[in-house]
Amino acid sequence: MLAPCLHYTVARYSHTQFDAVRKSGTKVMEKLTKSKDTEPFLPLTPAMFQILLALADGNKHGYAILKDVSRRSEGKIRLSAGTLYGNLARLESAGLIAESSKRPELSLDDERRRYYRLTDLGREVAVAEARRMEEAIAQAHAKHLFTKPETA
Amino acid sequence: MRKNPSSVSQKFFQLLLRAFPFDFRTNYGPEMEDVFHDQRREVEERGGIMGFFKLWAETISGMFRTAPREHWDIFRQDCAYAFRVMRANRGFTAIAVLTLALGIGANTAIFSVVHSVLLRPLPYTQGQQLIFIRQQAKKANIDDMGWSVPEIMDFRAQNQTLSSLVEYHVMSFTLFGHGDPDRVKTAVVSWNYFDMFGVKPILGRAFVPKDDEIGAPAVLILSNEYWRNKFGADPKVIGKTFEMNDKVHTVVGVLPPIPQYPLETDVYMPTSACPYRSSDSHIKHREMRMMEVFGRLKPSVTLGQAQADLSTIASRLQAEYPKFYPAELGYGVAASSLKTDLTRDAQPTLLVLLAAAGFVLLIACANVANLTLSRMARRERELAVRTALGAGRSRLLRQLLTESFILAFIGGVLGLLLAFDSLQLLTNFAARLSPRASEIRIDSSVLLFTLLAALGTSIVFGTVSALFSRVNLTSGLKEGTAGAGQHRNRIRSMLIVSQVAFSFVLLIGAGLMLRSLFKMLAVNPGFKSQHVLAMKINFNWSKYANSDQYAAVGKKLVERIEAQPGVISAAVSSSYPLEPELLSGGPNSNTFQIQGQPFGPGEAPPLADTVSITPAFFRTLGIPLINGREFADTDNDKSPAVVIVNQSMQRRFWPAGNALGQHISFDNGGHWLQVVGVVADVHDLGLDHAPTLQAYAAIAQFGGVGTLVVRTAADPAAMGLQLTRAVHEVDSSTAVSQVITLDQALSESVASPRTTAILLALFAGLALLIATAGIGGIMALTVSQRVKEIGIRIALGAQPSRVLYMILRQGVVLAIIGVAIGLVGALALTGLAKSLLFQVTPTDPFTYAVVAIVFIGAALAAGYIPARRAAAIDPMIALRSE
Repeated sequence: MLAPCLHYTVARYSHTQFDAVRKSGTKVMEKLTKSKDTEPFLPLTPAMFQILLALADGNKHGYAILKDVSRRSEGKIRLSAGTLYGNLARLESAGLIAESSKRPELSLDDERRRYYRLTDLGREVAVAEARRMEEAIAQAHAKHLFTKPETA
Repeated sequence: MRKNPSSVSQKFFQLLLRAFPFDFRTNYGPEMEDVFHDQRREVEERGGIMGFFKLWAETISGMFRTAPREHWDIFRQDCAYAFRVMRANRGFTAIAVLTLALGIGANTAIFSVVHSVLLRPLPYTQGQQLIFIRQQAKKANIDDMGWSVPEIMDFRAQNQTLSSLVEYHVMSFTLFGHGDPDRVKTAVVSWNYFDMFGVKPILGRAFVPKDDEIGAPAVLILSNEYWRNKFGADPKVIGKTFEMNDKVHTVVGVLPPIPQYPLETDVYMPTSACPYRSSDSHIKHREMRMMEVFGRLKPSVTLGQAQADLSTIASRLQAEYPKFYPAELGYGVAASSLKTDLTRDAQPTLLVLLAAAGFVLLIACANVANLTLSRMARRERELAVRTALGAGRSRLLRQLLTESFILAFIGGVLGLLLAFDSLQLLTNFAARLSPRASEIRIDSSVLLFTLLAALGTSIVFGTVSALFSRVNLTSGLKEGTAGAGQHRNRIRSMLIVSQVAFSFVLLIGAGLMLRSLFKMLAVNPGFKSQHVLAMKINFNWSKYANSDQYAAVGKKLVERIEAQPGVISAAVSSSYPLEPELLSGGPNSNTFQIQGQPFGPGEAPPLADTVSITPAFFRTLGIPLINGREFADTDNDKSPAVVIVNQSMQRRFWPAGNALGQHISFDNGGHWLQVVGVVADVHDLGLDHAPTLQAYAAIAQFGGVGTLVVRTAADPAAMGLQLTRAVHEVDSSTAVSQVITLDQALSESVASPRTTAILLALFAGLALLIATAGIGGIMALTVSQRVKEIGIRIALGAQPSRVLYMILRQGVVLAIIGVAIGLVGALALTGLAKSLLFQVTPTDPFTYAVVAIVFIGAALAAGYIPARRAAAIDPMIALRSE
């Protein structure tokens, strides 16, 4: 299940990964699979967070992610082909998402389309980001940010 | 579901995709096309043109926000990787960076000179409109005969094409009232001189029309440098008064720090303040020519139009005053752009040096490419593994180019430091070629040039090494295969050959320059320069009204100097051979005629360089007297006028050798001078100048005190102070300047060809070193690759001498091929340096032979160590090694 993913990443950033592979064998795979500190990824950009959210309820291909983000944000976050795949590439090389080997049934499948899935790390990072926002909102409430201050 | 691939939108989208790095495009391109296709279909279904525009706007802006980031990411990774590789190969990195630094540094330094001197516009308002105008007598071979006041007036009044025309001449005056009498170089200029150049004084005012009127109070403008050096940049200098030429002069202005053309002078005065220029004899007489003339073209007037206009005036004058412009002179006017004129001498030398520096950079490129190739051999497995892991070929190329760029960039920064270091040296050198030398600096254009040089360099050697490192997956992964290695050796040999060829051309250039310099130094100057001290002396002219008084003070001076201990003989003269001012200002030439030898019709009168001297001049300088006698104290105002001529003059006019007793006249037969002596020829204008016709007159009869020459028993350089004091004892108001030995003057006169030769030799030496190291390197590599084969040969009975010969032959063959190619290049290129050569042809066989021998010798020497190692291979160890 990991093989295509590894191949893919190495092809993009070949030498860094190549060096890493040469130096420390399996470490790369650990990095891609095992849960680890989510701290370095935070805060996520709104677009990245939305993409992770779009994958939270199932694997999707590029256009489906774009539609999902647009629908949920009521058109506020608009991704174009360039920005979408720029973000996908980044998330993929950081190990937050991966290409899914599960394909839809044959009649619906377009062989050119790749489906993306949330990795365990990706899910943890998304959760951490949501918690961070939740905390921020709680603090805003504690400071009565939302209630209009009475003018004296 | 499939989109229509040929639709215009889709095509355009594919074009946009090219902004992304290759690997990104390959990975995500098709998917992105799909997404865009879906978006477009959705918009079409909804209808409306606005949605369509919005989609395109978002798509395009999204692309251009994402793509640079992807490129930058890759660049950063490549850099990080390149630094890791460089750290791991410290030796390679150091040699490559150093080679590139030398190559780029040499180019940056020379380019900074070329840019400042040849390329940059003059630092004056609309500098391209400024012109230099000469009066010429073509038939008499006079390139610049100067201008008289009436001529300047005529041209100023009659021209239609110039917005202003100004005059200029330089005199040395003595300035009193500020410490010791100070000899100041004074430019005498029209009142609107600074206005024409667009220069505004930083203190005080420029000259005004009133200053130019005869009898106006004398005023001065100080050059910025003189103001700083002599007055410590005192702003209160305006209004200060000094005595000069027995008149009070008031300082009215200080110039900004600008390069002064055509000469650096200390002070400027208007024409009315110069005692010569304002004298009746100059104002009225058309033949009293001593001024230079500059002009500014009216807007939209071309140089050609101005030339035609000025030529019309010249022919009008010729018709009006036939007496002053005899047909046999070939009188005419030539206008040239000031910029061209100021850089004429510098152009050939600088272009030759730039070409040489370019060659050094090419050789450096070839060398680094070679180094990179041999390192590639060691990285082959790494590259093969990376290819196997999916790195695309273009990705590897990009990585290798980034590595080369980093090397070249560091080399460029070091090169820039080298260029900064050598700037002063180059400025001093260029100062001998052009007055623009003072403008030389490293500015943004030079920095841009360095960056481009580094970029170009990295592309050249990076591509060479990347293209020829064909990563062969299977052979790369297997240990010790030879296929790719042999291919690479061939490329390396080609690089070596090209290095040898380029170095050969450079070495030929340097060899020709050196040979030309030695030929110049071997010229017998015609005088003995050892143990002679010379100095410029300027009497306070207003104290000596006539030539009698001049003669008297000259005689007194010689007596006082000769009475000094350590002095053998002394003489006063108007100039001495190879005097720096004589070389820059030109000789005092006069037309003359010989009694009994009238000119043919239409023949130009001959020209002689005239020098005024006191009797001991020839003795002091060691100029041999061939015939007749020297001047004596009895040749004075009361005795008949006499003249001494040189051998060239006797040979031309009295081929039978009977010059003695003949008469010549310098004023159209007004006065006849009798020839009383013949002296040997002197190269007074430079060792590379053939001796001209020379005539010597007696100071006691014609005046002309300008310099003092003294032959000493001991080191002349040590006697400067003592002799200056002696001059001041005779007349304390005399300014003494430019105290130098004749040896120094001689050395100074060849400084420019010497510096050119040294710079070229330096470049060539560098090239030879790099090429030789390259030959040695490739041979060491072949030996290590062939250890097994050589071991077998030796085991089978090959003599060590035979092995030695076999290896040496390889290096020498490379050198010979390179030399042969270089020979063709040198024959084609060295013709360009012809104008810089003295008595050496660009195809000088001697130089070519010596350089070829040097090269093949160097190849032998470079190959000797690896060849010795090959011959000493122990077959047992060699065969066991694999």
